[in-house]
Amino acid sequence: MICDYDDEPQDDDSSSTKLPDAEKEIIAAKLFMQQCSTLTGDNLYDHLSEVLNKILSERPENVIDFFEEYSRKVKEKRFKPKNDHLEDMFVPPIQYATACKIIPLLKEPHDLDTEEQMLADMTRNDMLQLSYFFEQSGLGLPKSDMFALVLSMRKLIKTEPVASIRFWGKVLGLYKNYFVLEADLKEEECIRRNELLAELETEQLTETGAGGDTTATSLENLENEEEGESKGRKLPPIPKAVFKPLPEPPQEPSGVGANKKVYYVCNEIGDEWVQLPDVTPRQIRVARQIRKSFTGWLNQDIVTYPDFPGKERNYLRAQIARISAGTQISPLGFYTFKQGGGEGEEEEEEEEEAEGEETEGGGMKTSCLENRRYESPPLGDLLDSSMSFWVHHILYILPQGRTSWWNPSPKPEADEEEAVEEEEAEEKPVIPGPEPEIGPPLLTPLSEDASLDAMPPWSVRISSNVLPEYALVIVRSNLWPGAYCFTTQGKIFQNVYIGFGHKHVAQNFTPLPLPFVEQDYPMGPEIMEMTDPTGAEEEQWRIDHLPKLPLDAEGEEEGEVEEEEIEEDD
Amino acid sequence: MSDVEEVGEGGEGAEIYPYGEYEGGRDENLDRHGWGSALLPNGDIYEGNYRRGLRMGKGLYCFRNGARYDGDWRKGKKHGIGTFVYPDGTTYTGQWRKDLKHGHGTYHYANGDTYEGNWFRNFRHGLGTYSYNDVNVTFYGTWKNGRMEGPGVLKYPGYRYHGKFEQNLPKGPGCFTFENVWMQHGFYLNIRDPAFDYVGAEDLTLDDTEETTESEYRGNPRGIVPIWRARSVAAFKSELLPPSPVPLPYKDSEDSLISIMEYLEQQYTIATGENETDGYVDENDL
Repeated sequence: MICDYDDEPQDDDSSSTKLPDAEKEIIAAKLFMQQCSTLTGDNLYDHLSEVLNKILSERPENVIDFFEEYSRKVKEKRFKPKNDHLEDMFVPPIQYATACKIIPLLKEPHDLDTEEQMLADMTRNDMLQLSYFFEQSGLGLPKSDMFALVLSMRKLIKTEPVASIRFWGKVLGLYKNYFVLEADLKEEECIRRNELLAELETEQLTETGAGGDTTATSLENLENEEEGESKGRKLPPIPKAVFKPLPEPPQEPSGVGANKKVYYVCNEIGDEWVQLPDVTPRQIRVARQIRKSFTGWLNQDIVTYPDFPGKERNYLRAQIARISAGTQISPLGFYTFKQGGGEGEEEEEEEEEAEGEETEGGGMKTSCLENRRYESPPLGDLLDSSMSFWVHHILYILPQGRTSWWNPSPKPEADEEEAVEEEEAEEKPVIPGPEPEIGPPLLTPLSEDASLDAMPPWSVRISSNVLPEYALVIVRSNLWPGAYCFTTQGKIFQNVYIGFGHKHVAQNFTPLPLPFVEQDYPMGPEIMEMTDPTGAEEEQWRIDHLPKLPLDAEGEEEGEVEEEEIEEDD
Repeated sequence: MSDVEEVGEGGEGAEIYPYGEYEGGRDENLDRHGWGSALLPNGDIYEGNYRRGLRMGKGLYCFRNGARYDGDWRKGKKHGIGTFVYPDGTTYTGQWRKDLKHGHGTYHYANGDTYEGNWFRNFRHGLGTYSYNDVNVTFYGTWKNGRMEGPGVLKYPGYRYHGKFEQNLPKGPGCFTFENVWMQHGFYLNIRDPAFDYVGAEDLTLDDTEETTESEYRGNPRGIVPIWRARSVAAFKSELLPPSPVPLPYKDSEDSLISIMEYLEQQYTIATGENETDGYVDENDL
């Protein structure tokens, strides 16, 4: 404000015609001074303020005599030579890193030999086509990613024993994301793995057996000690807490049920694909009870209540199994149970599996085949919101954590023929046993799906109302946000999941209720101590049962005394 | 007593002795006194100290079924510090008073869970810590008559819940805290378990009536699940936590003067030896 008064006369001198505005003028002047030099990039305003600052901080005498010197020094200081091109550390640009990852994929030798084509079924992996459809449906990954994915998949099938492979989706994590591939293992590989698994199980069994022995011996020792303590009298054995945790259902072998497919993940395209371990029923059960974000590191510990048995790789595998079972769908009729002119091998497989199921899960069919005489349902049906023209083609996972129910208290093993007879004979004892869990059979229409909190489990829409002839039908799962399926008029269809790997919760997550609080042993006659017989009682009995000797008089006297004493006691 | 006498009078000479076996000291009234080992008429075994026919001092009482109590006795009752092994293998170690769990003690349950804390008239009462062995969770808080009632803290792996409890279940406003960095406020509702909808409604009503009549049942209410409703997330501030559990004030009856005198007397007899007890007999009988 004080400045205003000082400035006013000057302004009057310079421009008499216009009414001056001091603030405007100052701003204009400041702007002028702040104009950067085209050569050095400096500006007068900063320079002057720096010079004045330097002078004021140093306060030399007779500044005016060497003001230019100061100005030059400040300028000199600001001057940085531009020839410092050497950097201490090489920081490669991000693009370079991605390029380095993808270039080897591009250089991979590939020839369209028949052999290579035999490696694995890649027919459903035309990612560029898929990416076009993804784009139409309003989801998907960048085109470059899709392209690189195909390349890395082609590399993978050369090293891994897979029969067919498919892009499953992308699971988003807190720090890194996972690309997920779904593959069918070759039959030999499945057999090899199941043999390994069986070996492991037998080893574990022997180990636990040995462990049980040691505990038993230690308990025996304890008992012996106890017996040593008691002087003379033999005490009954100490009761032991008999608590048997419920038996854990065994893992489904590879190639069956929840372990039917194997999954490969990587954080970025071009990284090595890592195969996820097979899932155990317990992991699936616990995964249903917890809610934990993925971090992007496969070896991250999963600290939750209840305890998750495994690392993040196991958790990821369990979630993938759950998502697959819940959201892998196909148009009605694309898959079928039996095929008229099927190949011999396939039929055999089917028979074997069917046999296995009969003993385990009550004759449920566990596999389906592509229908060769498939005719796509009309668009209107596919768009029907009742969803009866879409079916699940992955088996439902039972509450037990398996697709086929495992009986925790099985009948004693016997030959198959006998078993059949026994089944008939032992129907009565079976009834009190645990009730088998039953899920919906394979190829159940989506219309049978249970809704959660009055929300329809699926929504369906069409990509274009203007051109329905070429439009896609897009099905979205509301239970698993991020799971989509699209189909081109029922001809090509693809399931994809791009999301955080969590199921929808209506309100918020509630931790699993705690188990019931144990109760103390109830008061009862079996733990009420008995009072000792009094000396008087014992004496009375002794006197009463004295051999009939001539000393009757004395005995009576004693008896009287006792009685008196008893009265006193009372 | 009279029954026994009648039996004795009417029985034959070869009748079995009905009072078990006893080896050990007796006083001038022929009551068991001093150290003794008894096989009681019902097959239980007691080895330990007696005083004038009653169990007093250290002793081990072993039931026929294997259950046992090893510890302090007074006037024929469990009183002091002792360990009880129950027929189902659960154990209680701690203070007793007049045959009841009372004071501070630890109970080990069959499935590995433990309760450590205060007891009042045979029930968990006051401040106590309950550890769920299987799931690695501990509860620390207030108990009333054997159930979680009042403020408490549940310690889960990775996070804690602070709030109030009713009938073993969290209920009402509370908050989850995450490693003392974040806290989530909200409240717990106790609603019917949807899984129980499939059970016949009759069964449930039956259960309810049982619960009302059966005052002994102190477990979790059946068919009720706690549901958490989150409201807001905030940075952790300890002053926003709900009230922390405090010990319950309860009145313990004082030891009567007479019993104190008896106790002193006992100490005296132990110190001087049993021979000199004769002088006190008259006082005691009075």
